[in-house]
Amino acid sequence: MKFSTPKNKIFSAVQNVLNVVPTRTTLPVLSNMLVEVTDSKLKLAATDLDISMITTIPISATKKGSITIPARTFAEILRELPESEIEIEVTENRMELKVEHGNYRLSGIPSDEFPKLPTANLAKQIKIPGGELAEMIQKTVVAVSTDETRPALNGVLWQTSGKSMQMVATDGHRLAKISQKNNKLKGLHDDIIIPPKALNLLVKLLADSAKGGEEKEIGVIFGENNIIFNLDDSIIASRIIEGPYPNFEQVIPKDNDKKLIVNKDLLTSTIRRVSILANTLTHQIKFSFKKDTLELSSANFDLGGEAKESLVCDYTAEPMDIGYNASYVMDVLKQIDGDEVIFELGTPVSAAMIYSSEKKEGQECLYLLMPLRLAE
Amino acid sequence: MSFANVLNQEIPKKILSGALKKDMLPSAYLFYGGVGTGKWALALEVAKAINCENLQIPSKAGNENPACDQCLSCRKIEKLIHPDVKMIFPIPFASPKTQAERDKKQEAIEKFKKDKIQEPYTIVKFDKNVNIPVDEIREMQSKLYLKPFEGKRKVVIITEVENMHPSSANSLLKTLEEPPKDSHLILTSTDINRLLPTVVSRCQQIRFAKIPSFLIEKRLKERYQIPEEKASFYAKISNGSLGKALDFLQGEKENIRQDAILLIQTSIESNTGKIIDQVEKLQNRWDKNSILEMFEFLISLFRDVYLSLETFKTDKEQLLNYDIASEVVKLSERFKRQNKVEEALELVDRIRTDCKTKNVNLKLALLTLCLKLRDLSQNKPAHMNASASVML
Amino acid sequence: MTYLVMARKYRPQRFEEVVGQSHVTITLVNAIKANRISHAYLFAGPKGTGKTTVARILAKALNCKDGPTPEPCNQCDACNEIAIGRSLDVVEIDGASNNSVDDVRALRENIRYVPIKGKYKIYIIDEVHMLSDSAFNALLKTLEEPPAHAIFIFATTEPHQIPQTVLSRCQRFDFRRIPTNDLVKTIQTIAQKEKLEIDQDASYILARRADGSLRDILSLLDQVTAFGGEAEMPSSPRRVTKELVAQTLGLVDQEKLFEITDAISQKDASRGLSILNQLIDSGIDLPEFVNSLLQHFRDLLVSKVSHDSKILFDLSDTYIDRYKEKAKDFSETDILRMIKVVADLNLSLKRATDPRIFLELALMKLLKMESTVSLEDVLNKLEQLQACQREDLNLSNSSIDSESQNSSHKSLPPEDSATPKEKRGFVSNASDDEGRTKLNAPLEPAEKEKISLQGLKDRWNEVLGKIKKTKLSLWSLIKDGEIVSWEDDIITIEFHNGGAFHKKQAERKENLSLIQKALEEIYSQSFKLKFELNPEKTTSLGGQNNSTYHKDQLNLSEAAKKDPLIKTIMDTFEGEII
Repeated sequence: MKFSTPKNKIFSAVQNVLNVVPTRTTLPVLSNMLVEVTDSKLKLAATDLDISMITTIPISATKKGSITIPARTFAEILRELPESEIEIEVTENRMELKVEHGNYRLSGIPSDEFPKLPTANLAKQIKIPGGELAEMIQKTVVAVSTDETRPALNGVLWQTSGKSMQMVATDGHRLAKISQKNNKLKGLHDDIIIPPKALNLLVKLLADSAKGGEEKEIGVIFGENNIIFNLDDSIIASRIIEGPYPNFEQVIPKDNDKKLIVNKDLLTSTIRRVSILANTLTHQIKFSFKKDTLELSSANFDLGGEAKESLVCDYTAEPMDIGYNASYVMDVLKQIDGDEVIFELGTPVSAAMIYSSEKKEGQECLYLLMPLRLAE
Repeated sequence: MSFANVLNQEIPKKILSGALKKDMLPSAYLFYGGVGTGKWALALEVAKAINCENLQIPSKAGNENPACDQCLSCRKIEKLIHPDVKMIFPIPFASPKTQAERDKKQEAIEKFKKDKIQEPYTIVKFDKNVNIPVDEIREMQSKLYLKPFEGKRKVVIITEVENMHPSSANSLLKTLEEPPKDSHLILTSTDINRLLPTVVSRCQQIRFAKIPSFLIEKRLKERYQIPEEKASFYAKISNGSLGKALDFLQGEKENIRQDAILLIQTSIESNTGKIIDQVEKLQNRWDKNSILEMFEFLISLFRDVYLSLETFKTDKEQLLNYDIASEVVKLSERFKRQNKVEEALELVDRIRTDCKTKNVNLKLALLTLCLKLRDLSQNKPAHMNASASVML
Repeated sequence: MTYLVMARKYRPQRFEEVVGQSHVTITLVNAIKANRISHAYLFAGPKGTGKTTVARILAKALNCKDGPTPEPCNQCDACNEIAIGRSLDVVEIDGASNNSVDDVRALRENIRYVPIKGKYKIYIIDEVHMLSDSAFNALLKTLEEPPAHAIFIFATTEPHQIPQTVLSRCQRFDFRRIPTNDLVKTIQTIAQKEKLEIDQDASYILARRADGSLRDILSLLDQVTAFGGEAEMPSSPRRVTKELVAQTLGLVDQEKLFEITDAISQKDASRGLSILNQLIDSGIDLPEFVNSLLQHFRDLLVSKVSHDSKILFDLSDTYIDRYKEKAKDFSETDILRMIKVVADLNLSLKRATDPRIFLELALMKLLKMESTVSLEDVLNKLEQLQACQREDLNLSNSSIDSESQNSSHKSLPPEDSATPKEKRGFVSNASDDEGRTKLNAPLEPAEKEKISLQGLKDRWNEVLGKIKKTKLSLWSLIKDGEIVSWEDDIITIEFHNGGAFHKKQAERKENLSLIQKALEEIYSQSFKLKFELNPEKTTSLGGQNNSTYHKDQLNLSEAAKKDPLIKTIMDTFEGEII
């Protein structure tokens, strides 16, 4: 293997890939980075077995080949090298970097010991606007469960059904659901559960690239064992979680007949204050729904503290007291667009539906919140 | 190759190849049987067969060799680097508290893998107490719900599960019974009696028998070019364990055995001072594992003495230590009565078990053993709760 | 898709499908019918008896769309999701990995959320005994005042490790080991569904091995069918035969057991060993082999003592005849002793590092076992000896009397000598002691005689005689001792080299007082005793009364003591052999 490239070009690619190199691993080859040269392309790849990242840059190659080398050391050397053309050559499991005043040699592990990275089957690829995807992820990922006893809930369910797609997450106490019309799905019908780790990384990379200006489209491939996000010059692949996901449709109440409309910022700031004196374990706040008034109260017996505030709202149904986890409500409010938020209620022991009063074209976003049973 | 890598074990092989062929591989296996009988080796072969890229669906019943040994997947599994085949094994410093201990843990992991890659039958030994790392079990459980990375199915091999803390063992129960699909767990154990019955019950249990000595002999000659006579002796003395026979090739084991014989000789010479000297010497020379092996030799020696008292002057064929038959005869003249030899045997076995499973002062244990053996050789009763006195 | 093991595939989905636990399911069904639903259940019982299974059925019964109902529909989402462990309202927690107080706190926090779909929020906590003490304490609070929607189902194999305070707040159900017949019936039914044809014999072997656990027997069936059970034609059912099961599980062929028995009866050690080695090389399951050997000897015994061959169940007629024939080679006592050896082996195998060596040892023991005379013979011999001994005792007793009473040589009153005659060899100590006490009570305080060392030595045998009557084992221990000195009221008795054990035994408090009592009775004076070891002394037979019958009797009584049957009798009657 032999090629040459300007330093900054390879360094930024290496830095990108470094994102997924694990700090500690039982498989030594994982702390290495795969370096592979084909025709006129340099492929850099790393994986922690959950997420894999592959970046490709054009180079001028004189000899094909591949190797894996210690990723962090490689990156460190590149960082310190002055900006210039670097010539890289691999012979017998050793990589040599030739620079102006000398050279650096590094031992590697043969590339066939590196895990076999997923390949992108472009025929199955669908295109989704990056911003739209990031929004869907951000609005659902908050509700993902961290409880390992129910692994399916440890990820976001992504469903596609021909002309629309939706993402769902729940931990059994709350549920987030967002659906989006999309006419480029090529009729794809699939269900996969994606670990939040990959989604968060994707959102981060999308935000970085969005700074550059215009909105990009992202290729997505639903694989059997993984999902692949194709970002032009790099690919992120994530292993997916074994299903099936519980049937969530049934959870969504159909007969919630009481409606509350309230100013989002007002509610947010009030909850923030009242929750200071909430039980530190349950974060319980009592919502007392009265005619056109919402009363929030909390009590912390350990501190001997109590708080109560009222705010104006739009509510006409019969009065009710319901307990909610304040931090869950805050999580939801943070994701809701617009100035007004709507609560749809049934009974004090049934799920509340929360959504924005504003609706985006082709999008539907809904949160479900389970009440805490108030002490009798 | 493949299943042929595993010596003997025809019944386990037939059960496993049958399961592979009929596609009725259960989610959890427990391979149990003596040390060095091929549990690890066969577990690897099953992992290979599950993931082999050129799997040859066996046509007829019999001793099929399903995995190809050639494809990348097979080679990765042999090198223990397949991302979907996870190995968890007992090591020292299983729950490190300092950076130094973390490094030692890492070293231990590498040593284990290196030894096992070289020869799957190796009995990997550490001079510290070993445990199955709890964090590895936890990590494995959380990752098991991800779909395979590159293989067809995920395989988890946990060896010597008797070294697992009961709380980890209990935490495995759910995974064993209802693992995610596309995953298989293979547990191995040399002492099924020490496992939680709830763990055992959740696995299909496959028993590994001792390997007939002629097969061990053959393997030593063919793969290690050991001369006939030595090979035959190693095969016999290692009592059905290829792992133990291989230990002899390292040389150490011969010396341990010599010292074991010396130990008995010193013990029955009945000079307490000399005994203490000898114990001191042994204790300085050998680590805990070697001393445990020494006990094993003593057991085999007393077994021979017992037998020779019974079948006097019959064929050497029955002796394990046939190379030192005259020593055996000498000892049997010394001990005279079988019940004394039996007592001696039980004594060694008990002290060995205590040393292995409890925190026992080795020097005291050795000394106690020697003095009791002396009493027995002089026809005095040795009291059986001897080992209690060496407990710390 | 991974193969679904039969234990999961056929996991019962309704109360009435649960095997062998009707006492639990009927109670639960009735409680649901009466709408008496408890907030905490405890399911206790051995592995594989259906605790988790019943917990899930109960969860379905409560959260089914028609629930609470004793008959969950197994159709609705709730039922389906519970069955595969994916329900949002049924949380299955393993107590082992969530055993800390923090885990329980998190649970207490979560439990306040109302169920998302069903009527109840159900927590199934497996292996609940693994919770730490503080975790149990934290749990206690919730158990005292559970939210109306919360239900706990605890499952455990070790109920004794659960604090009483927790137990008292749960409705407890004890799951039983599933009876063999139920296991057999169940696998017969399942075999049918799997298109397997399983022999009656085969299913009994599996059931015995499964030890009351349904999961275990189905796992065994999985294994056996993977091993073999090919169908002759693709359409015909696969057969599971006794032979197939035996081969898979490494069970020993009955013939081999007979061969070993032959070797034992012919005392052919090398043959016995080589059969054993063959078996080990062929890969049999050693503990299982020991069990079969035990069973084999048991059948041998039964065919020896019983005239009704039906007691030998599980055996065909040809085998019964063989057993009857084979049993002729041994006496009952022989077989009992063989059983004892194998039963002991069974115990020591559990902790032995190398079972093979202990197995060999036990086989050697069986091989070298001297054929015993029948019990009747022993008893007859004992009786004869006793007659001799009585005469001897009468003599010595009379001399005691004559001296201690300072009167003429008269023999003892007849009661003392008459009693043993009626007792046929087994003397009850208690009554004898009483008799003696009464006899000795009226004795006048003896005149203080000057007792010489020689005098003590001379009458030592009288003392021994008395001891022999009260405690034979003590007599045999101290009879070899010799009085060497008599100073300051201390009698020193010396034992020969190797008598350390004798010395130690004699020094035991109760034995010491027996010897003292005997001395006192003769000399009407109390003595102190001291025992010493003399390494120079090698032989012990210094006493003049070691007549031939004495040795004879000792050997015989030693032999008799080893005999398990006599030992049992002795233990039962707290007797001594005299």
